[in-house]
Amino acid sequence: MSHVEPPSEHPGDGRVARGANMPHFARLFAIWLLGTAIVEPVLYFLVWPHIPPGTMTDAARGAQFDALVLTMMASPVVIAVLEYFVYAMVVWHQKKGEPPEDGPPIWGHVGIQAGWIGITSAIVMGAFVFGTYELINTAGSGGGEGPSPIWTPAETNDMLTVQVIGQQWLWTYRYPQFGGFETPELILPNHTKIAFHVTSLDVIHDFWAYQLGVKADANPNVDNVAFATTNETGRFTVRCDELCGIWHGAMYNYGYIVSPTTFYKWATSTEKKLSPLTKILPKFAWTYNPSANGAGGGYYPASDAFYQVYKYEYGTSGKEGNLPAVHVKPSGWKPSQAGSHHVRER
Amino acid sequence: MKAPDGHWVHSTQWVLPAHTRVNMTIYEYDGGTPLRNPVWGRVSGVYGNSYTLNGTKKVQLLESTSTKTQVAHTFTVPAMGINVPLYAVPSSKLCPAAPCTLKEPHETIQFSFYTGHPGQYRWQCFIPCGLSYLDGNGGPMDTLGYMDGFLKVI
Repeated sequence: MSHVEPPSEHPGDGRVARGANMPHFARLFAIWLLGTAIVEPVLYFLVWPHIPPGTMTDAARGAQFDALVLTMMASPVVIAVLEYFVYAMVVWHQKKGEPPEDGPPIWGHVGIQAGWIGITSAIVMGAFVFGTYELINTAGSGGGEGPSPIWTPAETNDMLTVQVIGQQWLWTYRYPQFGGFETPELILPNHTKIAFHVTSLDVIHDFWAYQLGVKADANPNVDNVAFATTNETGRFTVRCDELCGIWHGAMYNYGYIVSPTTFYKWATSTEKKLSPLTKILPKFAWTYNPSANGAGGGYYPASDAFYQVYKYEYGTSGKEGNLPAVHVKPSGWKPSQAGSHHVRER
Repeated sequence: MKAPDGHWVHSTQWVLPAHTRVNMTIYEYDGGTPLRNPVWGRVSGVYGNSYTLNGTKKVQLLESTSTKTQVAHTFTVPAMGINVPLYAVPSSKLCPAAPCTLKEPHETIQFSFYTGHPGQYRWQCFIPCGLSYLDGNGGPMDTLGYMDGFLKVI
């Protein structure tokens, strides 16, 4: 690290000469401070609400907050870099007609070196600590989610379980608390914690419910878990985010968050409407083993389905876990289970 | 596909008028298997959520879990909610070599659907019928002009 002593004056340039009365560092710092003081509130008050993926779920809101924090951490650095870049071009550029001038000698400066290392280390460590906390907090990715969750959410009694099944090239969804019907429609109740169990019948897909802040790989024979609590009614987009064949780009659909009452009506009526189909579906399981004979052949609960159910009902330690055993003892899901806010509409 | 001039054309990309009822007849010559995902056995998105098989039998749900009833392909347009599972011809009666004529054993599937708004709608078969390919999803399943195409609604 080095300390640059810029030329103190440039004869014939009044602007630089005036600047020579004020140390460059102090001027740069003042400009930086002003820029940061303007940009940070703008980010917080004006930009934050518009940062994707939005606020439809707590997971989305968390992703939005994380993006805000990281942006606010990064913006002073970006401002400093851009400011120095512009400042150098304006103040230290070679003047027309003047011969090329060598730069000033560079000298080591312990204070600047220590400050540089200290500040950059603090920024990186801050990002590390914040990122780790956010990954673990509220069952985030790598903590309470994934095929082998380390933690499980505290409140699971009112959780709605939705199984997401990827197949070339469409998503279908099973609702085990409503008889296990399967449909290409994804309808969710508002103000409800949702447990997405994502799997695949063929190749690797990736379930990306963009506005919900949920993204989970759909692997055959893997039950990949992701959680989200719905906050707002509205439409969201579901895409496949893993290149999976010719119709990968068309493997998307729209889901809807509706009021719990509307959801319950839809779920019960769909359960009734699809009951003849549900009877011929394979028994609900966390994963399925499609026949590998190359052409069709039915899909069946995976051979380790019992283990999968056991694991989630009782936890990997063998003790009763927090996840609801909705598949083993279907109890149905009622609007009242969506919490005290279930009558609130937006 | 039978063109308006009466000739048969090898194409899976069709132009259809918007907001129009389309009467469709599919001649199905292939053998089949049980469904990988039985959800594709349900007829949906067409008038009456059913089709007519060989001019007589009304079909709403095709249970293919038994070896007696097998499905060759589906005609599925996800964006329109259309899914029509096609009965398979028994393997002992398959037409020996393509192109097959209407005198050869086949199943005739008739149904109607409504085109709705203009747009480009993909259709595909949801029975992994690419024999010898990984999970049956390669080959004809992965090639435009065979088991997938577009409905261009104008």
